[in-house]
Amino acid sequence: MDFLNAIVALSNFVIIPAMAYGSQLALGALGVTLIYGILRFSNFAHGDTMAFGTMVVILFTWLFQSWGISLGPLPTALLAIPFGIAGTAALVLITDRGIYRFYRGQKAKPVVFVIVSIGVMFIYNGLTRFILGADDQRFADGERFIINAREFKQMTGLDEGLGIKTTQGLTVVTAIIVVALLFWFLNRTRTGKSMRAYSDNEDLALLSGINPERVVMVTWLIVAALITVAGTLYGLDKSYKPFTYFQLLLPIFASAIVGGLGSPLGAIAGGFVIAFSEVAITYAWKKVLVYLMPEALEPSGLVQLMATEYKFAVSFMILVVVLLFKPTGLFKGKSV
Amino acid sequence: MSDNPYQNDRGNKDASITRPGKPSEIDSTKRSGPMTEAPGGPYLIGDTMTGGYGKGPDILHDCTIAVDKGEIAVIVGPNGAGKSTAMKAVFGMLDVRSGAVRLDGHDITQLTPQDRVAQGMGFVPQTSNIFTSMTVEENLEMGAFIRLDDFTSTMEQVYELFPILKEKRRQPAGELSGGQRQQVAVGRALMTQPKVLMLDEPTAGVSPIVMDELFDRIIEVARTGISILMVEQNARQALEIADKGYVLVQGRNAYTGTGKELLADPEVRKSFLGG
Repeated sequence: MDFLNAIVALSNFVIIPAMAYGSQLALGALGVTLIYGILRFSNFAHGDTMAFGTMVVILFTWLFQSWGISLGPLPTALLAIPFGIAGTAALVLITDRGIYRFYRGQKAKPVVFVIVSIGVMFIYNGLTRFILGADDQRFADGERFIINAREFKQMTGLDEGLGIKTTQGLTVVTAIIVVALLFWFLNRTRTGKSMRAYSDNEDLALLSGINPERVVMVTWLIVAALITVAGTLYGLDKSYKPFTYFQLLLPIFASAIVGGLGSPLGAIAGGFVIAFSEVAITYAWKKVLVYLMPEALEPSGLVQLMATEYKFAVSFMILVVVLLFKPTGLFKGKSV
Repeated sequence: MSDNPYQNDRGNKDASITRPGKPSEIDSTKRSGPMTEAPGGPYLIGDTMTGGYGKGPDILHDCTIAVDKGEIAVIVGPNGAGKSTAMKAVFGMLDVRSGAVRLDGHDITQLTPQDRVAQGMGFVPQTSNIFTSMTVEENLEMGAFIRLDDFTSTMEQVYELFPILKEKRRQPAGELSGGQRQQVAVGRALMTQPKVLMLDEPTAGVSPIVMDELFDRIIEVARTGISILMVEQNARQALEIADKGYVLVQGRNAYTGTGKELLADPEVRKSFLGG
């Protein structure tokens, strides 16, 4: 019984939240890795693109709510996602046309693109704050829980409750669908293969009649979709605040690098590695240990390795360790 | 390297923010200009081309290279003579400041390389001429990218020409030997069913046996009616199979003639074929 309680507590406080967070990071990291693979630079505007995309979703969610449209138990935001993707796609394509394309024509070095993306980041940053403001926004509605902790206790007779939020379930399911679609696209479709070909050898792709500008455009479209979905899921699961989204840049970069930049599979694995480490290190393990250890050995403290305020330090540490010992990342990306 | 500040990365080696590797040399943001009628003349001709890379100095000076249907034309010459450059100029990979490129009665000087592919030109670069991370079959598929019809019969023809590729078709092309990679490279270019195939030193870095084999295959390809324009380091062997030969020196046409004429020319023999 104690053992079961321990497992339930562990699932409730570590495994389930980390799964959801990991899925969100994975979707974000996939975007970073795609841009790195195709356009050769790390996009620092990624976090703020995410904030912008989510903002569009929020605005449409409010519009739908005011019209009285809802999805019943599911959040209305799901209906607004396609509009959010369209808005984000328009933004990144305009940015590419007006800014990045100029530097491509100049054959600028990737590091120039990095700096350019930081500039773009500030613009997006201001844009989002100008339209929606810098404050917290709530836009989640619908059923709150799939499994309620209290009902779970009554059902099983255990001391520990297990709660799964609708948004957590939704995040994992959506992430699986999106990732499956992405892999199908990259490995099976003509356009997807042309993207891999371009990432492999730009000049040869061009000599095969693949239009590089089209590859770049498709990449931005996919990134817009991935990032809007990731941002919306994060916002539903936690809350929406532009600054938090900017801060997500670090764990997202860490995920992409830990998995191996340029490797989509690595981005996903990296996302979960970072999420699990972050949650596990900032979790107070006392609750689980009380069930597992003999009474005499029960810990008196919280057994929390790090306060949650330091969670970004975790991704940073992992990033440093990986860069020191396995620079290509877990999945042999384009050797960092 | 250049005085373009955009191309100065101050020795940045941080691969966690910038992807290492060779970036594209071709300006992909450029658009094609118009294609005009220009009847007459050989099937493909780079006519009195002068030009160089980007804003750099001229490398080619009034250089003319032509090939007719089903012929093999070979460009030979010493190192740094502009052989590869001449080939790239014909393919639109560098600015031709004066002169013209004509294909099948059309002036294609203003076309981008991508659009020249669509016009029936195939190009096999000297290095990094395959998609290393993709399988042999995917390489061929990418070769056929611009074709919207069923290309399985073309793929069968390529496999017939290079049987080893059929055996290895599920293997990543990067795992193949040098000779096999060249076969993938040529096979990829053949997938568009080009009317002209341009090969930049196809036998660079392969053993003499493989080289003979590759030359045999190239002759076979030419027999199917495809014109071949080739840059070769192994001048003697190349001129033996050539219908037309061009000897370039410092970006200019030094000698022009049939392969046999050039092989017999005492001047050419002395200067370029080692006596």
